[in-house]
Amino acid sequence: MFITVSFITIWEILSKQGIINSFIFSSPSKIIKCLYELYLANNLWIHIYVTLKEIFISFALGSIIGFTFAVLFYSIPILKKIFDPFLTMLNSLPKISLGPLLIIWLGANMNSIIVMSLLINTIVTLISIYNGLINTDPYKIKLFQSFKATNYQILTKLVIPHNIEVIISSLKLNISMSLIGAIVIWRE
Amino acid sequence: MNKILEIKNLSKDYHTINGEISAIEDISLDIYKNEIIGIVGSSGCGKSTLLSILAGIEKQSSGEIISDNNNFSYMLQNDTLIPWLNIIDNACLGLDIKHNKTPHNIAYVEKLLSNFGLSSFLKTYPNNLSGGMRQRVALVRTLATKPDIILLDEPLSALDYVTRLTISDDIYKLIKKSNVTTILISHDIAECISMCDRIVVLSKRPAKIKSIYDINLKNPKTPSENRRDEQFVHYYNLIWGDLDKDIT
Repeated sequence: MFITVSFITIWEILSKQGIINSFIFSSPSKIIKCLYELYLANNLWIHIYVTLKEIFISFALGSIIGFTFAVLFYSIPILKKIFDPFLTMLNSLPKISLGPLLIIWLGANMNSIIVMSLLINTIVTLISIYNGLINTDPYKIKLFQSFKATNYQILTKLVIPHNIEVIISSLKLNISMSLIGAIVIWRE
Repeated sequence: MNKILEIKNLSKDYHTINGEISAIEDISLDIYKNEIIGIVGSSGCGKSTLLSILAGIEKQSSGEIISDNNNFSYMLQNDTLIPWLNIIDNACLGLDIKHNKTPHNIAYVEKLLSNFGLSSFLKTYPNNLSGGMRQRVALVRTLATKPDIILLDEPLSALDYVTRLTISDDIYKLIKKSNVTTILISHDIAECISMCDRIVVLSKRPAKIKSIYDINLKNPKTPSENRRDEQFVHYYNLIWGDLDKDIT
């Protein structure tokens, strides 16, 4: 709380004193004024609703697709080997530069925002969850194999529960990636 | 004595980028019902590989394992208790995997746990137990599926010396009470002599059988008492003599 209040206070002072450019960095008082104007014009809640909807849809889709492919690549290693070069290429692509192209292909609407967010968040989710799955304790896997567990049992009773913390961490990362995707296209 | 398991000319090779590495070479061994057989050898000689093959986790490169549809249960080197399952669920893990977690079997597991004084810890989680208690739970988990043969891969190696003596007595009593055939791997010759009916000495890699000793102590009792037997030192010197030749 103290850090948040200090940050906002210092930002306002630096902006008011002209130490930082308030056109580029804005200021807390300008933000509050803008929010108030939007509220008076009955535009605030609709904008919040639309942005949250875009973030939620891209977060949900990115999490499901990333998790599904991570599990598929873990279960079928040959698939990972086949798709690895494409994933590396897609991950290293400067996705933000695709913003204008997405708007041309899909229109200046929610679709381009969701696709941009998916391009940013899905690969990150997939890679972080997959790395967690393949680093499951090999002794525990051996234990399950000694009881003649099926691959499905090993996955559902051991590997996924073992990696709950990794999955939750990647979901936290996913939320911020979804927000970035939504804001980037909005700015375009 | 009835034969329960026959290992015939078993070999295991690993293919690496540096070529083929032979882990086990031409091991033949008969195992008898209800016996406790110990396997000793230098580190990395292939003891755990042999157990993994018997447990069905790895496949042999050549040779045969003849058993009458025997049910194996494997206790790994560390206790490998699942941290998000409580003690009763950990002990019933094998039953759960085999879809055999019936009330009757759960009652059996609870009885085994109470033999070890763990009946008040059923809902406790593994991180709240001592090393010795965890090892007891792992042994109960191994016995819960009522196996014909249990494979113990250095079950006491992670414990301090005093706890090892106590737990070895507990393990021995439970194995004898359960009438289960046991194959025990240990680095500790004294542990094997105190617990086993026979001891197989493996050579350094690739593992081959160097010698097999029948352990006939004068007054066999519990493992901790067996260490004071008159014959104990004699067997220790014999087995150490075999292992020492590999080191020098």
